[in-house]
Amino acid sequence: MIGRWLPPALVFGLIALLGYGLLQPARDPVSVLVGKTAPHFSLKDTEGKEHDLARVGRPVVVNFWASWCQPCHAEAAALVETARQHPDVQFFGILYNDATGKHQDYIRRYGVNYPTLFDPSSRTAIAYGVGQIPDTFVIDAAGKIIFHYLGAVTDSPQARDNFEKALREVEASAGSVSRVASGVASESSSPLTSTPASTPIQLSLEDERRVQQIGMKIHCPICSGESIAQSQTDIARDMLSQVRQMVAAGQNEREILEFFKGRYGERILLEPPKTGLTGLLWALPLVVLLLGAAGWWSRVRNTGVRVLSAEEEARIQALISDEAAKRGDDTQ
Amino acid sequence: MTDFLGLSLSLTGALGTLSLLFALLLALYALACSWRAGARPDARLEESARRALWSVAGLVTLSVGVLEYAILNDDFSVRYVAQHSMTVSPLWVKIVTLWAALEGSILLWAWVLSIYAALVAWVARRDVLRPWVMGVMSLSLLFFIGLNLTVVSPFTPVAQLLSEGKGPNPLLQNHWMMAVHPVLMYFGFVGLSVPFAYGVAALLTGRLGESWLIQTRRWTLVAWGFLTMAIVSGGWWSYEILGWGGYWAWDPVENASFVPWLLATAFLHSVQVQERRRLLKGWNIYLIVFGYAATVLGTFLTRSGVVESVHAFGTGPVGAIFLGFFAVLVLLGVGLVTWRLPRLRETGLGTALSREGGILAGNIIFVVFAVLVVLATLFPIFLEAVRGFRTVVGTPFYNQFAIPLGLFLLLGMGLTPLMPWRGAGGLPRLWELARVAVVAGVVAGVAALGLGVRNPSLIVTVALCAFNVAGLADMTLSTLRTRAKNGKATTLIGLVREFPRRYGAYLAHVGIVILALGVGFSSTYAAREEVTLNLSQPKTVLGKQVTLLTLANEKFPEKSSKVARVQVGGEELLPRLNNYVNMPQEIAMPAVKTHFIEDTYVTLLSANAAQGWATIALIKSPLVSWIWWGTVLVMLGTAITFGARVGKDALVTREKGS
Repeated sequence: MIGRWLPPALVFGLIALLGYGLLQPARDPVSVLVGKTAPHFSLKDTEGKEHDLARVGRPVVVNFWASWCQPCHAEAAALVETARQHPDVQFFGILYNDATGKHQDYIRRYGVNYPTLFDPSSRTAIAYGVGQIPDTFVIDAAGKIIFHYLGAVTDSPQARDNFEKALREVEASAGSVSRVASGVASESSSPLTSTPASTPIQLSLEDERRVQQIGMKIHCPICSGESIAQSQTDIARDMLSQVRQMVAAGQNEREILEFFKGRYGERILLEPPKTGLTGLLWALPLVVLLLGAAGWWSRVRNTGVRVLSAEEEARIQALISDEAAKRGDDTQ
Repeated sequence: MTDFLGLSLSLTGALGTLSLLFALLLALYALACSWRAGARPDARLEESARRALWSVAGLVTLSVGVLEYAILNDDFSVRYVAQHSMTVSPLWVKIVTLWAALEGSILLWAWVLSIYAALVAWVARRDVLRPWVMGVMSLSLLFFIGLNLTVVSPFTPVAQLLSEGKGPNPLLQNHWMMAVHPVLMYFGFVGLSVPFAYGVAALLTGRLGESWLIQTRRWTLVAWGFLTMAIVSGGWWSYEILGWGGYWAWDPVENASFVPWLLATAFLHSVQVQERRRLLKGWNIYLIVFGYAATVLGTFLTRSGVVESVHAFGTGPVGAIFLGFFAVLVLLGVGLVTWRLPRLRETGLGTALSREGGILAGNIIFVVFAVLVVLATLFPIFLEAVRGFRTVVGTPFYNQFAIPLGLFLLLGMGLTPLMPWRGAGGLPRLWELARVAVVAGVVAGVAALGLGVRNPSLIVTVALCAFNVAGLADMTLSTLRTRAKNGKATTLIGLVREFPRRYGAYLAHVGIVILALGVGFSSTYAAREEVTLNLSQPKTVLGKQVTLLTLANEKFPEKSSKVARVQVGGEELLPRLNNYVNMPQEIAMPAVKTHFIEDTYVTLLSANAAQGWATIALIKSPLVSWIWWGTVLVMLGTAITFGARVGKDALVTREKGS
């Protein structure tokens, strides 16, 4: 009988899958932007000077950090040293959701020798698909992202080697390629002000509802399961404000979801695609429900065995318990 | 080497470790005794096992007391205290710090388990099952106490004494619910270990009749009641602190508590089929085995970081150990059932449109629901195995199956109590019994449509809710009428006294109906709008006049807060932004005014007191409070059912009417 061995087989499969998931080292996703043109930015640094990526004309390292982030502190000194050793590479630090005002201490403490840029409403962070930090990108002289690492570049000797290798690569190719203008349009160059961080764009109630609906389908990149419409984290609120801006500009849901997918990868969508492997997932509910229905029918269908009436069963029961009482047995 | 307890480093830590060590030895002793007594009846060994279990409870209680003492006295020589507590926290936060982090929460688990084990040893019937039940409980105890002594020891001393601890996670200090929800959850989770132990005992002894089920009915009810309260209070907690106005997000932690609840709910219903018709024996054992195993699986999922979409930072070996325990539990249960299956002689029910057919259908939907939640939670792991990176499976996917399955369950909940056992009387009789309910359902559905409800699943929800309530009312009234006609007139209270199990269940069903309406309306009609307000300049938001009255900064030892006094309509609310000393980022503490029809909910998003502006989100969600009130009714119903006398009420010869 298959039914007898089905549960043990399923249980073995489940345990095997879980064991695999556990033993699998946690791999950080590589940014989908690697190999693509670096999103453009033009941001002001802490001294008020504007830096335009398209005008740098050299290889660039972009490092997103915040003074509240522990791993950022861990890599800061090494990053400053690396920048010193590679004078032909332009380093930029971009402040990520750091409203505490403690970034100056950080800059002083580690002697940060390259510009630190403000990123109002996280527009640049979103363009680079940044969620957790530190997050580091290496961009070659042609404006293409050739390397990405999530976490402190000092995490492991291997991470450090890969970073160094990428730096040498962009330096080597820097001479031969002339700078081309970036194809990605500038998204924000508004100066940092002390007015409400994201001056709400006034949308109709209908459009605002659409914003919330779209927001419900986008995963907050630093949360576990919450959407950007739900999470109160800074990055989620900034992403939602980006959605608002895109809705105001007349973009539809598909375009907006595509934009976020293009920056963060598929993991940013709370609704997995209905095609390919994840299509399997969408088919599951129906399959499991049909199996359940079949199981139910096989149990309840009339097999020709007469269902005993309550009286008949009571009589049988009385006989059994008499028998059991004689044997001094109370359970069967 | 002589000071393996770390006596020279921390006296309190050493005392805690020592009492856990003795508890472990006694649990081992209880296991050995009950095993012997089970294999060959021996009253003295069995008595010895009982006393050992009582002592284990005493010793684990002592170690819990020691840890609590260390926290309250800021004894930073204990690592747990140094890492998760701080001197400036208010008293209640210190008390709950006991279970605010991994080590302490496992100790709480062990404590609750030791209490259940002691209670079972105390009240269990003296029969052949008892030694095995105590044995299985001792096995669980060994695991959790052992865990507390090794990889997640809360009593490890620190070598370098600090003057201030790191403090608890700020999210956990934001609301007093932290004091209640986890404790309820553990009483629910751990409570399922008792019916599990009985199930395993029944399999081991081969006494697979109804005796074990009847004995576990109250245990299951208690565990289920705690689990229900825990899940709803968790939802309430999320609603009160997360600031987006929702209470459920299908995240792995929530799913971990929901799966055991689904299986336990199925079990509560299917045991009736075994009691009445002696069928579904294997099914019931499977349900309870997987129900208890699911609590361990859930703990594994939430502690090991395997399903976290967020980059997991070193979680230690505890995940692997929980997976191992999960494997032991399910392999033990499933192995035993597979071995005993020929003896269960399972036959079909032979009738579809009957009480038992309905219960089985509902059961299968509960199980399908649980399977889908587990699969959706685990799907990211599967995807990673196949293509190397993860995907998030979020709310939209869950809703796609949870809404239809929920509606099926509502239908089954209304229809099944109307159907006679064995399908007596066939379809004509069923129509006669269900007529009133069906008419009420249709009328309510049409009325909802007429009143402007346009969401199809909400219309169906309303119709099914009316169907449920009308069906229950009709049955109760007709019983009262029949009684009066037969000269045995009684009141509703009299009926409840006479059949506590049935009317407790009816009340619980009414509670679920109210809860379902709350969920349906609040999820369909929630509205949210963000607005930036300047001091005393009113704006109209979501049809209400909203004014920022004052904006202040407050300082406390453990945090500083921005507090906005916001007038919404005629009400004043005080949403805050808290900045805890041990966390760099601000977290919002929303203000909620609960009303019968529509809650007013304000979250402070950002504020500047000097410049006199604040950005707030105003959320309106109708009928949210019905979820909490519905749960209160469910709990009342559970309590009434609990009062039913064990054994007698379950006899096959009972029952007339319905």
